[in-house]
Amino acid sequence: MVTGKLFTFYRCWPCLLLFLWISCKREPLRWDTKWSAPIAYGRAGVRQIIPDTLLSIKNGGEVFLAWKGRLGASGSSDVFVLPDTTVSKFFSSGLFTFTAPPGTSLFGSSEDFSFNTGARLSKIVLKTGKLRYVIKNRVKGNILFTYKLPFATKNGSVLTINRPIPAGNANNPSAISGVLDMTGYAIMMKGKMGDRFNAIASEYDVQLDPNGQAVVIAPSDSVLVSFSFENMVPEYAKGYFGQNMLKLEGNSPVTLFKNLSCEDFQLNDVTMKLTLNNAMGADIACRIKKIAAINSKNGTEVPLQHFLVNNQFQLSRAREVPYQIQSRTFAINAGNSNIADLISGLPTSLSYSIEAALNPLGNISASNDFLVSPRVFDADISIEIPMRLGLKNLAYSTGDANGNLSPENATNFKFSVSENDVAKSNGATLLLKFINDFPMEMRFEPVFFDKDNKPLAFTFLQAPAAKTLFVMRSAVPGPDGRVITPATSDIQCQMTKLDLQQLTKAVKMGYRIYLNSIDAQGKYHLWYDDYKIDFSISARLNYEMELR
Amino acid sequence: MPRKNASIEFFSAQSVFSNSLSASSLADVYRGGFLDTNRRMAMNNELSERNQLLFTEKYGMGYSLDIADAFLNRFKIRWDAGICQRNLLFTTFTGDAFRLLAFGNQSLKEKELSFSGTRFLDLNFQEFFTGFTAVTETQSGRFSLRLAGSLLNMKSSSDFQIYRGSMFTDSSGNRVSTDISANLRSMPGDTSLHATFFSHRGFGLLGHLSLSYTIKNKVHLAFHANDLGTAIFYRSSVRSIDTSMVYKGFYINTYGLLYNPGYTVDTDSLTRALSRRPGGRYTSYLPSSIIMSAWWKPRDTTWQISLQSTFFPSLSSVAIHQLNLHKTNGAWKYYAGVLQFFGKRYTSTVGACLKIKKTYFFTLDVISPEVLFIPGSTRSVGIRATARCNLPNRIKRKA
Repeated sequence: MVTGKLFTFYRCWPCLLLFLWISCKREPLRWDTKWSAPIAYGRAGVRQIIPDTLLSIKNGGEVFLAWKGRLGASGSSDVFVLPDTTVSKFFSSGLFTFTAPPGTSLFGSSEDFSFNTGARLSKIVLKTGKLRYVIKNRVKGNILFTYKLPFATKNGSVLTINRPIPAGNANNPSAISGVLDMTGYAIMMKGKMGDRFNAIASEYDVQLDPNGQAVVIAPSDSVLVSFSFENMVPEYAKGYFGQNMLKLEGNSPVTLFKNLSCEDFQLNDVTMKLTLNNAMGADIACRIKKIAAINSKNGTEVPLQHFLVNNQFQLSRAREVPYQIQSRTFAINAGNSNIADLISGLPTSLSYSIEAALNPLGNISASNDFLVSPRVFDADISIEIPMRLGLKNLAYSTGDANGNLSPENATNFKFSVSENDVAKSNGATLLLKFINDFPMEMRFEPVFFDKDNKPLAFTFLQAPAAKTLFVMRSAVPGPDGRVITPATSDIQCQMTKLDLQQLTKAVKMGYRIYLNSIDAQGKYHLWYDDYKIDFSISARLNYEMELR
Repeated sequence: MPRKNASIEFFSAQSVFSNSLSASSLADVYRGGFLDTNRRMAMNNELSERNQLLFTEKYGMGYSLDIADAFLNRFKIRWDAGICQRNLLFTTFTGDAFRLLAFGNQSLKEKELSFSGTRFLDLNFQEFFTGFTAVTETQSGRFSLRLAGSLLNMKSSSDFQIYRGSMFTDSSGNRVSTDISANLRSMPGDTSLHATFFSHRGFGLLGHLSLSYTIKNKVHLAFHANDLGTAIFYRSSVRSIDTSMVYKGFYINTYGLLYNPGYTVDTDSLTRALSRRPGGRYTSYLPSSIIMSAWWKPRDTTWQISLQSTFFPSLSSVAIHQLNLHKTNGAWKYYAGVLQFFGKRYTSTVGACLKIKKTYFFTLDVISPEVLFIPGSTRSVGIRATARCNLPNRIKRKA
């Protein structure tokens, strides 16, 4: 039995106590800290607030809102049509039977075919068009078929179809088909004698194959041809277009006041220019039956009252060489119309009805009316508003047409702070600073949406405090109407820890912006292009640091 | 059976030195928990312009054994091996760096903060050591040489250095100006003794050299060079930043504000300045130490004087000097002395050693024992304890 002890570990037990001390885990070290950090900054000048497409700056730096749009336009199809037309021809020997040697011209024809265009066209140049044909041969020999439009040319070449067709018989004809692209062809439509309108001269020839055999031609032997003119759109047309009535009617959307609504919108001045354009070589007698501003949000419609309305005036024909459109522009302002009433309603569209009678004096051009596609007759409108607007709660929102905030149009948003860091914070104070040159107060109301498109609740956004929290004060202009000293607004927004946690869930931000520019004296002032808003956002954060 | 003179030893040592923070402040940091504002204010009041702190911890066990009595007819060879857990923390920092971390920048607006030269080094590793000691007796005295090597299992590390650093926050908090060049190499891990061994987070190799000469048992001179080597850290990240900029936050492009819902945000240069290399590995020298010691025992007395100087060349040349007076009284040996650290700081040391039947040897050293009575007065504290047991060197077999 081994009684010796090679290793008397047990005798060393007091030593083990020392071995284990301080091996236990210690608590992590924690303490509160307070931090100030800038978050964002920016500048919004006139060019940042108003897109270049809507901005007009005058020589003195005055800012104007400018919007242009097309009320309506007529096309060539309103003047005349080139309907799809099919021409068929049947050739046979009649009652005779004869033997034809190779190369014999069996059948032939030269004739005009007509289009029912609604006008008297003498010439067209096609922008698009197709000529589809089918030829059936019941002659018991190979034939050569030739079809020609002698007055249809492109790059100096006459439109010709020249096809060999194999032999057929009465019970089993041989057939060929094809499509010819007629794009770019210039076609004289005065017939083969040059004394008609809407008529195209054509020539047919059916010849036995010169390299074939002699063929006995019986009365049952025939050739049937079918030509279809399809999808013809003119690029140019000449003739007499008649005395049709062109009508421009409809609603033209106005994007200038998109997503805006206002309790009170006062205009100091506004100018609208209506331009009527005659791109045809035909005289027009115009009558503006109606122009009205429609606000689809509140259902209001305000018709324009101006001498133009329901009065007729002439619009000369365009010049052909050199090509020049004839236009007439009418200035409509607050002095000669009720345009201010139209615009102050913040219209979403303009409703219009304009009639244009072609050739009121008849065919005074001796059938030399012309048309260059695509423009025929159209009306343009432009509105210029000086940015001296009396606004009371002019509201812009990312919501729907009724101003209800919804996530569909909201901006993508991401609060790039981890949930772990938010858990260590004890809330934060958001500090916003605005330095504003504009003589306008702005109020901002944000709404945040989570990934399920549900609005998130925040303590700092609870009503009614939310409506007065983010307010940027208006600058006060001097006696000359220009702002010298900007207005500074310092806003503090207290956010709890729960608010920060909510913010980490936000994926979208919608907002309403309210603008007020009417001062206590009821005045409102013009914007200048050097006005700007400098803003900065910083935060004061209580954060618990931890050291393990 | 030859005498083997085997022994097993358990040791534990912990010390912390600071040139500014008091022992009570250091204890607060060590224990962890929540540091309230008053405590941080008290620490702030203790700080100087440049502050240093050195914390070392080591506990483990070792086994040693005589393996040769007359190697080359001259040397007595002893072999030892053991395992220990070691932690080292060294930091040098400016007062501004402390205030920034302790309070945040909100109370430090409109002040130019400087933290150039700040360093934070933290190492935790397990060490498996083995070595050979050769002892030879000469006419004048006894000479010993010990060569040892260690294999390290790195548990965690962090080395953060700010070569150039300043910060200024304006009064409104809208502008933060920084000029910073810094480097952070870190390997997060589990510092618990009970964690998995060889967790493949990193390993290191160290060499140790000890030379001593004892002259007629009256004068002893020793030189130790410890922890000479490197370590490789896996699963680490290396981050560096070098930027000089004014940070005003993100720039919001407001084009088309009213007519194009939405905004674009351009990131500021802050994120461009940061470069990061995650999941990498790096190699680093470990802080080595040079120890020179000497003791002198007057003839026929029970008194002894010892002097020991420890240098850390790579830790801003930190030096610790200790002068002790020893008194032997039977099985007990007592000593007390003075310890100098960080150039200008002094504290006291006391210790005792108990020898029981030539089998058990217990040693206890305490640095700054006055901390028990006046915690705020001293800027150091330490304790070292060893327990050694000489194992029996015969095997008896019963017939």
